[in-house]
Amino acid sequence: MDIREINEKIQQESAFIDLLNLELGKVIIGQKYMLDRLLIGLLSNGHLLLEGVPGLAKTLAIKSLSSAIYAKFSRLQFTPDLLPADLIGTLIYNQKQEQFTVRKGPLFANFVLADEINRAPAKVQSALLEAMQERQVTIGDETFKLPEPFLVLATQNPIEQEGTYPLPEAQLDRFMLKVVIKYPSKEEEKLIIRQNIAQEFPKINPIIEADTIVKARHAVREVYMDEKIEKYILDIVFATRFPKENNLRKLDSMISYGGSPRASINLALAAKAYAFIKRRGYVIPEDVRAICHDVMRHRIGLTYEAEAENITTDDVINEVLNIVEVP
Amino acid sequence: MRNLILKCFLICSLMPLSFLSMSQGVVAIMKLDTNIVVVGQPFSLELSITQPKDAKLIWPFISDSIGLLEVIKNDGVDTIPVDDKSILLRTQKVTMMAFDTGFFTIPGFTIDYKLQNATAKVYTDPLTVKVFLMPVDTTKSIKDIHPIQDVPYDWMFIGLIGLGVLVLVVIIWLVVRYLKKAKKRDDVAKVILAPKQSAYEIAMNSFEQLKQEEIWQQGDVKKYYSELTEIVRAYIQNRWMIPALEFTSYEILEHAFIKQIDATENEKLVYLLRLADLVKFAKAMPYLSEHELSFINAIQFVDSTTPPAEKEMLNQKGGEA
Repeated sequence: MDIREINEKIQQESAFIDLLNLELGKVIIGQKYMLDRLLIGLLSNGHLLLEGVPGLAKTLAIKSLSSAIYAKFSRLQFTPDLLPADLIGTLIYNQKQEQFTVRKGPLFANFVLADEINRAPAKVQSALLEAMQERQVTIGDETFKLPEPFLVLATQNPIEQEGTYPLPEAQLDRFMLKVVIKYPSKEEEKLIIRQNIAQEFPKINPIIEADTIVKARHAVREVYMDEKIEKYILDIVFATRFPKENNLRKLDSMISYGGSPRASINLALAAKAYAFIKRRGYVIPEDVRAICHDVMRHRIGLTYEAEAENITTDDVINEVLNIVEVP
Repeated sequence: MRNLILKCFLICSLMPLSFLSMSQGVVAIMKLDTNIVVVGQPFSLELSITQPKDAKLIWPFISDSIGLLEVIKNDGVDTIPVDDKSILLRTQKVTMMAFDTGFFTIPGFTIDYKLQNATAKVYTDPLTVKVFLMPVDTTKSIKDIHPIQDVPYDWMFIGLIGLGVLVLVVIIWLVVRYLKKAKKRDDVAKVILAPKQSAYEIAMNSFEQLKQEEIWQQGDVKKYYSELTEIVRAYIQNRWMIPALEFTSYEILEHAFIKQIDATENEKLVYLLRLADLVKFAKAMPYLSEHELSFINAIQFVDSTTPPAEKEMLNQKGGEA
C-alpha cells in the first residue's frame, strides 16, 4: 500500500484518539504519559504493568477508559489467600439440573485491573499471566475465549516489598510495557484538590465501540516502519545484550541479561502504536525513543554491582540511547 | 597336712576367678605428676578409671579447689581407646596450684558404679603434696627489680615491612592507573573530540563528495537524504560539541544551540530535517527541485553558522595548496 494511503487511513482510524483523550481528560487531570501508554497497550494488544505509589489515579484511569469504550471492567485486588478459581471461575454444582455449571470469574472482562499483583502467590500470578498470553481460559473441560479487546493492567507498589511475591523475569517479560507513574505537577495537583473539594466529578460517557478498537489494532499493524527504524530497534536491543561490542564497556559489568526477542517485537509494535496515537502513518526514531524505557525497563537484568551503585535499568537505557546512532 | 593340701587346691582353683572379676570390674587410679612443688608452681592431678563398656558410673566432681589447693585448669573427662574393645579407659586431668606452704592432702574419691545390675564402689588412695618456699639467701643485699629492657632493632623485619608498604603503594598506583584508563576508554564514545580539520572544512569536503557521487540522480533518494543529513548532523556535532549523531531530528531542533543561530537558518534546518525524515522513514518522494534545494539549504546553513575567521583559514589553505 502506498504511504499516502496508509497515512490517510491512519488519520481516519485514529480520529477517535482525540475524542477519547477529551473524554478521559474530564476526570483525569494530568497523567498524559500514563494515558498514552494505556492506549498503546490497548492498540497493540499488549498488557501493562504499572508501578507507582498509591493515589496516582491508576484505577481511575482504567475505569474511565472502560467507561469511555462500551466495555466491561473488572477489578481484582490481589491478596495472599487468592486462588486461581477466584480469578478465572469455577464449576458449581446445580442441584436443580443435577449437573455442574460454569461460573465465570472476573477475568472475563475487556479491561481487568489486577491491583497489587505481587501480593498474590505464584499460582494465581501464573493463572493470570497464562490467560494474558493465551487469551483463553479453561474451566473444567471447557475452554472459553476471553472477550476482545482484552487488556490487563497490573499494578505494583514499589515501596512495600514485605510479604510480596515478586514476579519472575520470565513472567515480567509477558507485559508489553512497564510504566512507572510519577506524581502530578503542582498545577495539576491544585486542580485535583479543587475538584475533590467541590465534589465535581464529571461522568464519562461511552463514546467508542469495542469494534473500533479492534479495527484500530489492525490499522496499527499497517503503520509503515522503515528498515532503518527496524535496524535502530535492533541496535538498541543488541546494545543491551552485548554492551561491550557497542562501545558500552562500562555497562558490561552492570547488565546480567539484555532484552529478549520479545523486547524487539514489542518495541516495534509499541512504536507503531505511538505513531498511530500521534496520528502518523509511519514510525520515526522519536517514536522508538519515546516508548523505549517502558518496553525495556523490565526486560534488562542488572547485576549486584549495578544495584550496589544504585544504577537502575532506566540509567542503562539512557546510556544505550546516548550511544546508539539515530538513523 | 591334708588341710594344707585342700587350702592350696582351693587357692589355686579360685585364683583365675579372682583375676576374672578384677578384669571385669572398675579400677580407679589417681596420681600426681609431682608431690613436691614450690609455692605458685602448677602441678597436675590425673584420675584414670578403667571400666567395662557396659558399666555405669558416677564420675567424681572436682570443684574449683580441693582444700587449700586451687584448680586452675580442668581438662574434663576424656576417653582413651584401648586394645580391648570391651574396656573403656577414661581420664580427667586437672592442673592445680598452692599458695601456701606445708603438706596438703588430696582426699581419695569414691566412685559408685553399676555393673550387671549390681552396684558397687571403687576408691582411690589419698595423695599428699609438699609445698615449700624458695630458699632466700639473707646474707646477700636486697636487689632492685630488673629495669625494662630495650628490644634491639630488627632491621630485617623493618626492611620487610618497608618493602611490603612499597609493593602495596605500587599495586594501588597500578590499579588506579588501570581504572582511569578504563574510564577513559569508556568515555571515548561520549567525549566528542575536536577533529583535526575544522567543522566547516569537513562539512564542505563531504558536500563536495556527495555532489560528485550523484546519488539521487541514480535514483537512490533515501540514501541521498540520509547522507545529506548525516553531514549536517556531523557538522552540528563538531561545531557545538553535542552528540547530534545520536539525537533525533526533534531533539536537535529542541536543543539549546538552536537559539544561537539565525531564524532563517533555523527554518532551513527544520525544513531539511523534516523532509529528510519523511524520505527516510515514510517513503516520501520529493520533487527533483527539492533535492537541489535541500542541498543548497544544507550548505547555506553550514556557511552562515561558521565564523568568518574559520572560512578565511580554509581559503588560505586552499590558496597555499
